[in-house]
Amino acid sequence: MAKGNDLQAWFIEYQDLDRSDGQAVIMPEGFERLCGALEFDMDGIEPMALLWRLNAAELGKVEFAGWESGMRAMNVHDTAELKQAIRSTIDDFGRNAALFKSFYRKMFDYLRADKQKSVAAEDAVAVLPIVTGNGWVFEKFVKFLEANGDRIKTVSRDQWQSLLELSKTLKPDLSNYSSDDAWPAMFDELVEWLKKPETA
Amino acid sequence: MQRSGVYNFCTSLKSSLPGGTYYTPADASSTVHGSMYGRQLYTRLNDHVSQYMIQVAEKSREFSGDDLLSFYNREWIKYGDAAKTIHHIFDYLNRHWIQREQDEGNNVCDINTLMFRLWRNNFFMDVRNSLLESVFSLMKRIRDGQVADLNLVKSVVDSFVSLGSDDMASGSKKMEVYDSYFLKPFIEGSRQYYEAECERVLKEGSIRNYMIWVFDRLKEEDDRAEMYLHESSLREFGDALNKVLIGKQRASLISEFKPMLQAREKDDLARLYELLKRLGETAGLEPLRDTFRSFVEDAGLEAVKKVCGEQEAAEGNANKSRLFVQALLSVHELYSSILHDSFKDDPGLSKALDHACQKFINENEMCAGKDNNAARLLANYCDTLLRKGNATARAAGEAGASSEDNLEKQLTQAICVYRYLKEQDVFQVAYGRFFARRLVNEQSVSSHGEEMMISLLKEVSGMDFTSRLSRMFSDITVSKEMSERFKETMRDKRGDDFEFDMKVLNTGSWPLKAPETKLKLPAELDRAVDQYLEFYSKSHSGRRFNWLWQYSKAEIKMFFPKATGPAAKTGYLFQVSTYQLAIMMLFNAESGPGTGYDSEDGPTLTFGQILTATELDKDTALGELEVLCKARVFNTSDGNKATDTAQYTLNSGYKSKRMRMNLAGLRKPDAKKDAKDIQKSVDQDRSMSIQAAIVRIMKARKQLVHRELVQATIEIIKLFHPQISDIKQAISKLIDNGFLARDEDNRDVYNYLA
Repeated sequence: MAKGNDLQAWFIEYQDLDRSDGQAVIMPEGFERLCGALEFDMDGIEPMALLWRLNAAELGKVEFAGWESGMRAMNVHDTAELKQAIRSTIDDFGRNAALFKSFYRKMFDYLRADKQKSVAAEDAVAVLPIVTGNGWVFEKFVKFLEANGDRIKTVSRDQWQSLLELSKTLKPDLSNYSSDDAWPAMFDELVEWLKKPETA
Repeated sequence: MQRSGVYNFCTSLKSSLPGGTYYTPADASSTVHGSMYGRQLYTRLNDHVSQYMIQVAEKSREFSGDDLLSFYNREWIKYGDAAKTIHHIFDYLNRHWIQREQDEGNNVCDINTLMFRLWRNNFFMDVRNSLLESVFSLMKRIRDGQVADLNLVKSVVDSFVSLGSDDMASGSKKMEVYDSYFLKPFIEGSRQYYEAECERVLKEGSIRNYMIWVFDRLKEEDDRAEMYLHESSLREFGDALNKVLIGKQRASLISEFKPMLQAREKDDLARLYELLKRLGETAGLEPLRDTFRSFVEDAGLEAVKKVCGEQEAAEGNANKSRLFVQALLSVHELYSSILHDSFKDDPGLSKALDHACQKFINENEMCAGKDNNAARLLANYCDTLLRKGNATARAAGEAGASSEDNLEKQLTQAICVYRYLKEQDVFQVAYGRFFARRLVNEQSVSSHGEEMMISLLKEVSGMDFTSRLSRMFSDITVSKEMSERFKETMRDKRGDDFEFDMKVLNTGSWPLKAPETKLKLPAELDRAVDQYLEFYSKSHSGRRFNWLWQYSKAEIKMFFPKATGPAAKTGYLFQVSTYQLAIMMLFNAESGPGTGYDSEDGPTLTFGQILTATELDKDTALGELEVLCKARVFNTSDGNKATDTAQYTLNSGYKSKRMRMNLAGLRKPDAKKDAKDIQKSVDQDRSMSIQAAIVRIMKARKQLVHRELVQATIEIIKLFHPQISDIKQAISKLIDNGFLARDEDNRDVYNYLA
């Protein structure tokens, strides 16, 4: 299909029709159908990359304005093209640090509940492995949250964002970490915990 | 006589001139003539005086010792006058021929200078060694304790000094004669003398003896030196003496310091201090500082250790804190007095004392664990001083002094310890709680005492802390006034036959929490409260009240139905808590709910009924009933124990020797819980202080590197020492709340978000 009306028509296939406010949005149910059409695994990274590309503000909710500008930016007109675009975006994450950073930061907003400023630790534990693949720092961090779940209930935006930086710089032997540096206090705890023999 | 000498001198001079003519001003017109005469006159004078001096030198050889000094002195004085006169007589020569010669750069000096030169070259150089010998011998005699005329030395010194100031060359050589021909040998001679003396004294006695001897000798020498030495040499002379008398024995002297401290020998310490001070800050006093510091520190730690071991300390907080603080004070006082009396409040040693106190007051055996804390113990101690019913603490003051004076002294001492506390904010929170409790329970021993403490604290910590205390204080005063006015207003109107007082407190200023249980007031009390509120709202409208029944008390008269003896008529006087009151009122024959189990002892109530009627929660009710049952006010169906299944009846046959009983005060505050609450409050305050400090710094600097921000935060907070992890937490909070942001390009940098 072509542009303009076609994007509208495409959108309408998944749009939520039970709204009382007349807003043009795709809700989680429609979004899931879209992912189905794209053959995306709902537990994988693709749906989230898709949301991000479609400028969604919340998890599973796509507004038409975002849909339209997103599709145009990707220069995509149909399901096949969309699938390809999202796949290549995900490939690009590995090569383009700035791209991934932007996506990663947005993930925080997707994870947090509406009124909250922070993300629940258990949500972070569930989603980080999907989003960050096999980065070792993220893996350790997830284990750390799991081990300290009784004390640590949330992850703040600063901690989330700093985690990405940490993953880029921290050495496996932890030798270049200093608590005098500007890392969030939680990371001091993380490193201490990692240094414990029983943790290794 | 001297005049005649001069006259003779001059006339003899005259006679040696060619033709016996005078040289007159008239001849000045002829320059050649004048010049010839000028030179002739000059030369003749020179020769004549030289001759004279040589004769004097010869004569001097007949003398030695003091006689030589006298002779020299006499001649010197005579000569001095003569020189002056001659200089005056030959004034014309000075101003004309001599001046001309000097202008032409010829080696000719004015008459006065010439005279001194002649003395020096023809007599002095000859006799100076003998002079010096005589001076030494005289000095030795004086030093050995004999009597001798010091003035002889003085005049010799003066002459040496004068002889050095005739040089036409630069002024700096003025003292040359004195320095090289007198001072140096004199100092060397003194040094040798004392070297020998030191050995002798050290051999004969202890180092302490030596010190006393040195101290006295130095004083003698100091006093004496002013009488004969030139003032410019006093320093050099003093240094030389210090070196030989003190410097050589420095190590042994310093090693005496510790034993002296141990034996508290103030006089010896004072002497040692004075002596070592003469060696200067670095060589003399610095070695003492570290010894002093560690000594006082050990003494303090030892004193606290002893307290920990004492049985009394284990028995309750009041005793523990009292013994602890008294131990601290005794050590501090002891070494402060040594610092003052023996070391004259020397700044270096004063600092050493402060460091030591800071250490042993905060980090000692008593405060090692989490249970005890110097700040809390001190607050507890202050509470025992200011709370009624604590005679022990106050009795520790001086006998004979008034109790007010004693209290002032003890509070001032407490403040002294406060200054050294590392965690003053913990003290402030703890003190605030104790203070509030005293006020609310009307337990202050003296309101003047409370005010005194507040102003002492203000001096050290400023208004921030004490203004809250002052507000609490004024709340009480205002409430009193209100109560008085209320009583006046209601005097005839109330109808109830009991008195009551209300305290209205500003929520923000008091560290008091809402009660843990509800309460349904007895009807009479309810009425009274309503009346008061009506009265109160006339002057202050729109205020919301939280009732703190847990702090209220009542005094009641109990008439037990079967009481006999004096108590039957007068009743027993009980002090009860409001909760207890509510429970007990249920058993008033006229107002109890009645269950059908009633007997001549009055109503019998189940636990459940009590709960319903009073709306108290289970734990509170049970606790109060336990107290009442233990006091035998109630009998229960459960072996007279208070349980939640028992039935309660008044003990109508109650009998006690004591007419008054306090049942309210028996539920004492839990010390462990107190400590926990205090720490929680402190932690909260600190977190906020750190955040506030960071915001202030960032507002001013706009952008700052992490390390600098941490440093600035530590510096700006004076009340406690913030931990780096706490600062990081605060930064995290501020980032989350949008006050700060990490810089995008450099994550070590923070930006202030306006």
